[in-house]
Amino acid sequence: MGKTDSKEKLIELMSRYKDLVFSVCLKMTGDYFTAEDITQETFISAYQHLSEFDGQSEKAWLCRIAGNKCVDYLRAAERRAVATAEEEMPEDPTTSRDGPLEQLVAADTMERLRKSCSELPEPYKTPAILYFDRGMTAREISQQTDAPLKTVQSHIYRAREMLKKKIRKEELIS
Amino acid sequence: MSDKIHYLSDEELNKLIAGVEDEGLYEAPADLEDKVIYTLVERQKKKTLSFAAYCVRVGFGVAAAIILLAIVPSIPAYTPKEAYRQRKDVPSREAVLGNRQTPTREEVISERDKTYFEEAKKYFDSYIDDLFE
Repeated sequence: MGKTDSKEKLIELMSRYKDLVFSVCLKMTGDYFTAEDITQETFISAYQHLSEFDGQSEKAWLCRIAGNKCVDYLRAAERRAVATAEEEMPEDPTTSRDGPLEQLVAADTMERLRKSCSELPEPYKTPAILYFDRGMTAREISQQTDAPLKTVQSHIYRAREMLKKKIRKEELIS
Repeated sequence: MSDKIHYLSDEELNKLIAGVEDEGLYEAPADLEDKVIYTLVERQKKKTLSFAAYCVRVGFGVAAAIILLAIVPSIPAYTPKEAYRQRKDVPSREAVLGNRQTPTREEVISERDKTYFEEAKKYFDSYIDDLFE
């Protein structure tokens, strides 16, 4: 497969399965930004191993890559966490893969993200709401708000960092 | 490593995919595709640059080797022995040997015997003198 073919195949895979892969990662990790990073890594890994793909089921193949990367992340996160006694550690809801609790975790994550976006100060609040909540691209936001594209991109980046800090701080406190 | 966190089996994976699809998919970040393509392009650029740097290093090494191969044979060989041989004021082997007066074997033996006889004579003379004192 030539380079151009591989790139076209990757774009096709992303347009078809990005929401599914992102949802799987969000369900397993319970964190929006981690899910975003792992989704990117999944497609990059898929691109690098396209020649090894047997062509059977793209959906299962991509989700397998995403699932394994999520497990690797969870294991690394566990190693980084402070050791506590076994009985004191609550069962991590994201590691149990059955039941409605998992659904609630993902939904709660998105709800918290939306709420946090509305609590950001301007000029980060509007781009954050449009990007994270409404799913607009930086270019679309720039056209809508008549702001330069680079400014919008930098606001989104800054908003992302602020949201990450805020959400993780809240998780630590809770 | 926790025993609780393990890689998904095929059944677990299929169950997870079905569950996610039933609940409804969450929208992935809008710029995801652009970010992935950008990351791939940057990684490719890095690979190309590092390979180019490697080629330059190998090229310099080969050039240095060729230059050494070309230059080294034309450097005059210098050793103290060679330098000594090239000096003009050094006498030849024949001249040195011709000046040397080497005694013959018979001369050396007779000289040795003569010395031995004189030493023995001195010893007996002193012994006899001691007897008569």
